[in-house]
Amino acid sequence: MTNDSKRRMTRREFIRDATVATVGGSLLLGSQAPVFAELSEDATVTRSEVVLIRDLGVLDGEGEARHEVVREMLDAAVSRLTGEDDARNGWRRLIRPDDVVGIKTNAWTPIGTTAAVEQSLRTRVLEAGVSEENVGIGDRDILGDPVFDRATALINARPMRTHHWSGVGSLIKNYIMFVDDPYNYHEDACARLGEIWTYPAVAGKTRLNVLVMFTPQFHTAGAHGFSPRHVKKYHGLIAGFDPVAVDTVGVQIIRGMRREHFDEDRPMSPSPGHITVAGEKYGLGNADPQQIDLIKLGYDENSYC
Amino acid sequence: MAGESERRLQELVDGLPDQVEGWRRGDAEFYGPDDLYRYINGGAELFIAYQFTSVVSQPYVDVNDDEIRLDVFDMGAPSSAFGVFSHSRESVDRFVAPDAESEYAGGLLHFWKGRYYGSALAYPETETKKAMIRELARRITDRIEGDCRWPDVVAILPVTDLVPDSIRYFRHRAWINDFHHFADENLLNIGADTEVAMARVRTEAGEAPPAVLVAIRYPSAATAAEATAQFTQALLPGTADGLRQESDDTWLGCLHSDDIVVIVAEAPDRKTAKGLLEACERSRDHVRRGGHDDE
Repeated sequence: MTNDSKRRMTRREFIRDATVATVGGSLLLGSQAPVFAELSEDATVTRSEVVLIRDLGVLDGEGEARHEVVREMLDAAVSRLTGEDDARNGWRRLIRPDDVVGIKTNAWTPIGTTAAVEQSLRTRVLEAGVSEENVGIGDRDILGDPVFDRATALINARPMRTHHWSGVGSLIKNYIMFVDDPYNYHEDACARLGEIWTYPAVAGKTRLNVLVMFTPQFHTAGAHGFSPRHVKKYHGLIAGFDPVAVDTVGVQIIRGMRREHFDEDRPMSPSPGHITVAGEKYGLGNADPQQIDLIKLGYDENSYC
Repeated sequence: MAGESERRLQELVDGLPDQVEGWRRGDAEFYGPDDLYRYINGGAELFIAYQFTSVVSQPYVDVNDDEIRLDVFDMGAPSSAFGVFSHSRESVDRFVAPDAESEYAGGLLHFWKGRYYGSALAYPETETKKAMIRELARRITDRIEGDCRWPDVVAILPVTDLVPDSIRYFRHRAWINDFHHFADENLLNIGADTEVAMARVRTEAGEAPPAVLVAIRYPSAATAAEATAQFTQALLPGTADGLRQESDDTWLGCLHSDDIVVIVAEAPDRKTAKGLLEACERSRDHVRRGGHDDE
């Protein structure tokens, strides 16, 4: 038994205390298979597929993400996740023409989701048949936004970085802008963030999670949290239907970068426990790497996972 | 209190030049605990946890509308200024001035002196911007009274073998797992009324990685005893001497005396763990007598 596992609440204890439901997921269109893991009282666990795709050509000489390369990476990920050889068919399995789609991005400027990711997602959603007025991209302004208010589908996209208070900025954390009192979710290193995924504005709507790992930040310093020397070019995207599993892989990569930089296995501060809680208490997916099938596409040197 | 703090911050930035090279000084902005999140969205909690009082953000703008901001935080007490600096620095240089602890790397400067913590970002980094933020920070620290004396509780950690610049200081449960994962739960009842000093310490055990030492000062002997009992029950059950070998073969230990609790983790063997705890006890007695090893 590891130190970690013996000191955390057991999964059984979490399940005992939680109202467990498949609140964060949805079904692949035209399929009865859940798109990511669900927990139940009898602890039937579905494995989660996560795609890590890396391409050294994704950043140009200025460090900006290239739109065409990003589109190819996203297509390859969706193709693999949906099992459709033709990525366009894959996108059509995620998004219906009558959907209203909110693309939840992240506006933190030093390391953003990037316009290339946002616009590539928007392009593919439009190509799936959604009309322009039914697609929106937003972050801090999504409450009251006419598209997000009507959204039937969400695409969750953001970069991963370490964070003073939650351990990392994660896909789970990215939905904090769906509440008007985010400060009430800061207790205990933001452990309760997963609860937001149970709220009507979000529950069951997320069709795809994309963790942007072009230039993740693996340590935080300074007043605004941006520390250039702790930013590393990684040229990657992580995608999946299970936000917890995608975040878990992202954290694994961040930990690898920290190990390399600090020359020791220095824990993140604080621990990004909100990801585990999101999986174990709120039933949003798998935080156990043993339950994650990681599919690597493209470049695979120093992947840290 | 906030008004006095802002007035003092205003005095500090009043010493800055109106123009530096091609950069023109703009209007300073002030934020307090209630609106800090508007200025550093997603990062305010760190400062709030360290008894933040107010901050002044002083912008400089060039002809291309590029902007550099120097932020000076009144942290209420030198211990909190040191704490927020120690939270993320990897090393300490004297980039700003000989009497201010600072770290500059890759365009990011942060520093502390007295009860003030400062930060500025020159990114993308250029030599001009680097020199500029250094000069601005130097002018600020010149106007700050006080020094960079560490909180007393830090002196409980034996100075000789500490890993340079690994010392952390905080009063919040969020960071107790910085170097070693003790538990997700707040077993040690760490809160605003407890002071925690934590560091890595070298041992004599060959290639073994540095051990972790934690010294916690509680508001009373009773609260220290309560936390010790909780910690021991969870992580050191059934041990007679407060020492236990972990599943990775390293040693964990705890020593409680009066209002102080000292913890060692990742020690390579029992003897080392015991020795480190005893060294902390000697340091504590020395601190109690009013002395400091660094004096």
